[in-house]
Amino acid sequence: MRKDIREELENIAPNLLEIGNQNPYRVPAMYFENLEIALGDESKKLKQSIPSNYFENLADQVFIKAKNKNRTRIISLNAKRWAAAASIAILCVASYITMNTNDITIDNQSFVLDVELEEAFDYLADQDDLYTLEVLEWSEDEFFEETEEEFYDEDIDYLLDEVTLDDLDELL
Amino acid sequence: MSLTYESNRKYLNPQLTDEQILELIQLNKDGGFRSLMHQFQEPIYWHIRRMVTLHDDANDVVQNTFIKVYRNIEKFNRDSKMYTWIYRIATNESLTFLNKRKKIQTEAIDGDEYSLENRLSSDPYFDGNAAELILQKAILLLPEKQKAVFNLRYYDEISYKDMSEMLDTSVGALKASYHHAVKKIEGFIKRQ
Repeated sequence: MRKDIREELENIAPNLLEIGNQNPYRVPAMYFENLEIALGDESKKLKQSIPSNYFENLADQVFIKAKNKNRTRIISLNAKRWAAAASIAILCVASYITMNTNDITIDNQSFVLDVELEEAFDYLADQDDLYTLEVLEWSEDEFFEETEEEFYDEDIDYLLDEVTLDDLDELL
Repeated sequence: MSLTYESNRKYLNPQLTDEQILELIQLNKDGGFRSLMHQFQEPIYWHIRRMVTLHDDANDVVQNTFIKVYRNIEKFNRDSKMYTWIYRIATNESLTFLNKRKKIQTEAIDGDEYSLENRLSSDPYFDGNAAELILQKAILLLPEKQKAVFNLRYYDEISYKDMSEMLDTSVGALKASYHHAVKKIEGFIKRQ
């Protein structure tokens, strides 16, 4: 353990310090360095920690998903629920903005969001107040069900790009 | 060092600088990205694994993390370090995953079915001793963001300055968060 980290713990957490900071999920020594040639005994140990060839194949798996024309996060909706979903997105993101005004830039013509719908939902999920819980329940129970149409992240982005501050004022 | 791209594996050098990785990506995005993954996949995997605990979950989050890196590498701000940028994405992806899992656990009638504490005790992928198991159980009880701060400092030994860049939080707040986490964990260990 590095000296400064050890010193931080010496007085306030001697029991924690005694356990140490070795990784309990660790793989066999030198596993990563020798991954491409790891065979025999080492590969047997490897199976107890991580599937064989895991790191070797990880890049290929990421490439396939990253290049997929269909974005990975898809919410299925029927056509009638599009507008409602957009409204929910706006509500959620608007709530997110009001709670994080320091983190998001808003100009007079439109607001530019560097936040995804999912992140807004996740943020709201952390909130305890009744309003946000209601928004979450409403969005999840009523609209985000599996139906015929596909609804992509980009669609939400597009809808949000169209929203003005006046729209937000009406909603809030 | 003059870099040219010849094969996917030729430049899997674990000690490339950020500039060299970016140069490779400019020459050939896929080849350069493989170098990036080779350089960062292990520390990122372990960071995520400590956050989400189980390998299968970590695998999903790792993939989502690198998909985001791949799609956004052109937006990487060269003023910051690449590893802090990727750690930041990985931390956010982990927190997103944990929030989803928390919702599932909340909704489950039988919470024990999903109890990580129970699963950790019998996890064949867990190699720790009894004391380390207690420590991991204590970490599981921390709020997710505090858990991230604790893991980054305690296990990854990352400076508060770099952590501040990763988590977009002030150094003072991080020190306070780490201190609180340490006190909680110490108390948990004492009670065992």
